[in-house]
Amino acid sequence: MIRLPASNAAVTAPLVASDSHFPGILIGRSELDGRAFHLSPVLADSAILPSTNSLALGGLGSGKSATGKVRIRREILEHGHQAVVIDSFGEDSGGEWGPLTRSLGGQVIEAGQFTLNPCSTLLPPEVREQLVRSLIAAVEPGALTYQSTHALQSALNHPKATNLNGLVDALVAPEEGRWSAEKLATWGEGAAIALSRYTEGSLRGLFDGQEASLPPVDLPILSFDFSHLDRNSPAIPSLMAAVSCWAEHVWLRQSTAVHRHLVLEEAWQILLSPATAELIQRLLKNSRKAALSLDVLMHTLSDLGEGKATDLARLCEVAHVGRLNPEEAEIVGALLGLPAWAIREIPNLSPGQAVWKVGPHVVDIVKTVLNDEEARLTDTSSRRRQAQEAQAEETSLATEMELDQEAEEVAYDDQDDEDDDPQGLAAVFVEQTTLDDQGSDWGFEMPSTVVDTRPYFDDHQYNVIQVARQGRCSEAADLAALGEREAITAYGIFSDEAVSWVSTRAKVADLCGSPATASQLRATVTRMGKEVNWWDDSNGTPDSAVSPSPGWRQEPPTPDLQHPIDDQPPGVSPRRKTWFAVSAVASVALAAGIVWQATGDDQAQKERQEKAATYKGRSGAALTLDGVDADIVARWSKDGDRVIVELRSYFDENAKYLRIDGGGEKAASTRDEDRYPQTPEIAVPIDDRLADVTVRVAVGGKSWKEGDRAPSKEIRLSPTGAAYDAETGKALPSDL
Amino acid sequence: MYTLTPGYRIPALQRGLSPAETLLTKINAGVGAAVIASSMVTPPPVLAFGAVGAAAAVLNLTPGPRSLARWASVGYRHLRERTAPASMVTRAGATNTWALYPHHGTMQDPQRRAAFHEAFSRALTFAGGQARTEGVQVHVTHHASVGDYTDHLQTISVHVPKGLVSYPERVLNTLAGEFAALGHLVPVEPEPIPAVVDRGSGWAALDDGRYATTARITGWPDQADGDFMPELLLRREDDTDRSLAVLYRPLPAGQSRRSAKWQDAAGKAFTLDQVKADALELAGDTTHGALVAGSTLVDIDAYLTVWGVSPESVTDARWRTSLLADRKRIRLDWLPGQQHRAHVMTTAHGASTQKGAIL
Repeated sequence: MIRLPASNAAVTAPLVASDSHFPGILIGRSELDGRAFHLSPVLADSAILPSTNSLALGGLGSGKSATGKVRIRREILEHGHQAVVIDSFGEDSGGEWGPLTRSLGGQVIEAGQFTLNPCSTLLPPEVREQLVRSLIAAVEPGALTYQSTHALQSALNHPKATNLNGLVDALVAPEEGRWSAEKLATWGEGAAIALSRYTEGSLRGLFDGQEASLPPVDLPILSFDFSHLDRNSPAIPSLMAAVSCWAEHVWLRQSTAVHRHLVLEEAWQILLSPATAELIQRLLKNSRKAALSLDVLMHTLSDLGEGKATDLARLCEVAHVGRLNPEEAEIVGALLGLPAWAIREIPNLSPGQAVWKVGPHVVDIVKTVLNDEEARLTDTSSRRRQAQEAQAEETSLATEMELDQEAEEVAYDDQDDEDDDPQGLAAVFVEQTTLDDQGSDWGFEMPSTVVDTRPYFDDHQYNVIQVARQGRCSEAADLAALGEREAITAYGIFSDEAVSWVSTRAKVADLCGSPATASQLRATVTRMGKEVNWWDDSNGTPDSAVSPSPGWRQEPPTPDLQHPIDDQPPGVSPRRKTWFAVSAVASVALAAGIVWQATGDDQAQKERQEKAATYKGRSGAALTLDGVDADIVARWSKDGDRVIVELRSYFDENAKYLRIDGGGEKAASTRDEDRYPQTPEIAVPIDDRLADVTVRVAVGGKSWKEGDRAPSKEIRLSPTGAAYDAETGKALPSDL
Repeated sequence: MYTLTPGYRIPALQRGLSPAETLLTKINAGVGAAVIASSMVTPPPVLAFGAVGAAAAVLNLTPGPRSLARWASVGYRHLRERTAPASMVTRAGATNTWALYPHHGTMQDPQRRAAFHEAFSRALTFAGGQARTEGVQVHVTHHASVGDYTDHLQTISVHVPKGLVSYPERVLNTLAGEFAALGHLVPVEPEPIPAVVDRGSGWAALDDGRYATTARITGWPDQADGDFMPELLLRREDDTDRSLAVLYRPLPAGQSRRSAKWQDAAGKAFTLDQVKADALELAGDTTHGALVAGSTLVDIDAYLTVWGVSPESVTDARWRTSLLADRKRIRLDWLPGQQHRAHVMTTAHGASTQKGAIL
């Protein structure tokens, strides 16, 4: 028990979680307190959520689309809602919403696959007019004047106006009415020109059909797929106009679902066009009356310009913001009225996480939870994931190889990683498997170690060398290391196969221009008591491996095993026996070698330990040069990567010039107007903190003049505190 | 920044004694006084001083976390009690329990959080000022059940012992009004205390199938930001169910001032280490400032229960909680020998327990 002032004690109150919750479908988990986050805006109390529209923002891969999709899916499955999706983004295989739409038994309508007749009698007259006006506004926003509207009105009433072509004709050659035909024709010119883009221009085929079949209104989900169109295509605003007109006047009136959703995927291009923005704005405003929720998905609000963005933010009471960069997060946060802590979090969100704002007060960070089925249906980045998986496999392979190399303590010059060629790698592996299959053609049963692996390995080595010859060094090195590991696993570390692989690695290193590694590897083979190119010798050919001709391996060395004597069990041929003897001798030699090496290592280790025990990290010497008393002081830095060396003359009035250089560093100071020269100081980089450091110091005394060569001395400073004259090896007196 | 340093750690003897223990203490003092008085009349043999000194030394031995006498009491409880005794929570007096949840986002927004803590501090001060002597207890619990999703259950209870004030209902109602300003307040009836069905080393198995191990929080971090508790309780580091409860015993204003005065005087008189003396002085200044600003002193007793579904899982969860506590600079005392009653402290029933219920 402790006694504290109440003001300080209050911080210990474990009242940390809120109990706010909304009715509806599960969205995910709150990252603030781990609670399940549910929300169906339409089920929430209208006092808390007056409008049910939602706005989803977030950068690429922030998970906003996936969240949008699972929300719609769950609303449809759990509450029987209906949705119409305007999907203008997707991979080349089709719209993003395709798989989800099909899984829910909906229909995908692709742009260009259907033709709409805006003058169809299936549409009520006012809808026809509205639709044609939106089509005109979408291509020529300036064409709609009072006069042209009137001309359009009378043209629509013309009996010829049963399709768009007829309408254009009626505009060009109007009938006499309240106004004269000439006047109407003049007024209708702009509208006719605008509409001619649909009948003769680039947008032909979308709206100039004769018959009008409208999309069904009773499907759970309907997706208009604009993803085949270019992002900046002028058809998008027109199609949008048509779809929103259909939605407003046909779908919303005829569908019987309790609640409807209109989803605008990648909505910025729709909202940027003034014609469509107006339509959407109207839908947003009337959404409550029409039992409709607009779900707008886009990257950020800043694309829209301030006025529109503010309007949109005001009309969408539910907003979720995935990861954005800090500047955009600031803008979006200000527009949505997010608190500072939430804005700070936006740039750090991981995919699937989003800051949710529900109504005026509730701000939460929610991680959308998907089940496997949903994850499959909402996956929009399959190509990217495939690439990542391929990369991951490659990395894991490389990691295994690295580990293998480390385990053997064989320094191997890793080639440039950039020339990795996964396809080539795969090709080699394919080759090796086919070779593998050939090995199973034996007419009788043999131990696996005898039958198929020998030819495979030898040919495999040949392949590796070929790969190295082609200049794919890193790949060849990896393959060789892999092969060696397999050989070690299958036959043991001192086996001939393993040794042959070490030789192959040496060969690869040679070809790839690292002779040091090659000689090291050859030394390893020699130490193991083997001939470097033992198989070549056994074939009676000299070391032709050095020559670049591909005749290095004419055929794999499988001579005795291919025709074994029938009554002799396999694997005990005389050749095998000699190899047992050879390997026994080799292992004894190797053991001796290791013991010898280890004692040597021990000695060095011991000396090093002794040195480490006396390590002070500081050294210094008192010098007299050119009549000046100076001290040289070296301090080893704590992290052991550099030594600071200073040359101090303290208050010796004779000192005129001080210089110090070593390890590529140099510092000097002269006495100018000052009474004493400044202390020069250098930082010498070192690799081994226990090694000595040698520097040259030069001091100019009373008689020194600018340009003179000052007397100098080379000094070796040891981290144990001692200092020596580097030329004579004599110990110098300490400065302390 | 809140400092939890000026905590005046009440020594074990002052932690609070049961009426029987208080009686024994008084008898002891009386007998001692009589012995001393008699020694004035007849000087005792020199050996007597040695005997008294030896007895005092034995009584003051503190093996482990508590004194010999306290170990004896714990041992007795352990032998006598199989489960938490009803007398532990059925103290005479009026008790009310509410569920209390702050408004959404309060803990995340620094300004709103500070305002919340200030309001809670005012509520504690107000509770302390309701009687002439200390006795009103405010007990706050937080229980998190962690699975795919985490559910939080937070309660706040007030206990006014019998005889402390004339109209305890009035105090409870005014405090309910204070708490309602903190967030969403709903009266609740706490679940009955589960009975202990099995005991192991460091854990108790309850009749609802859960296993509990409880610790007293004996040390808080020196300095804590306002988000100390949210960080501790809301961050999902493992899937351990935990309950944390804090029992606040606010002192009335006069008693707070006297306590602060003695605390200050003791700090000056008995602290030889100059650094420590200065630290205590700083802490005293903080306390002084808080009292001047109208705050009161509060005794804090906090408990942490870790839940599991098997002896192994609860032991494992306890280990993970120890690591968490180290990271958060919290010291835990796992209350050996008292697990059968300690888990009560992290339920809403802990509100009516008296000092010394857990030794």
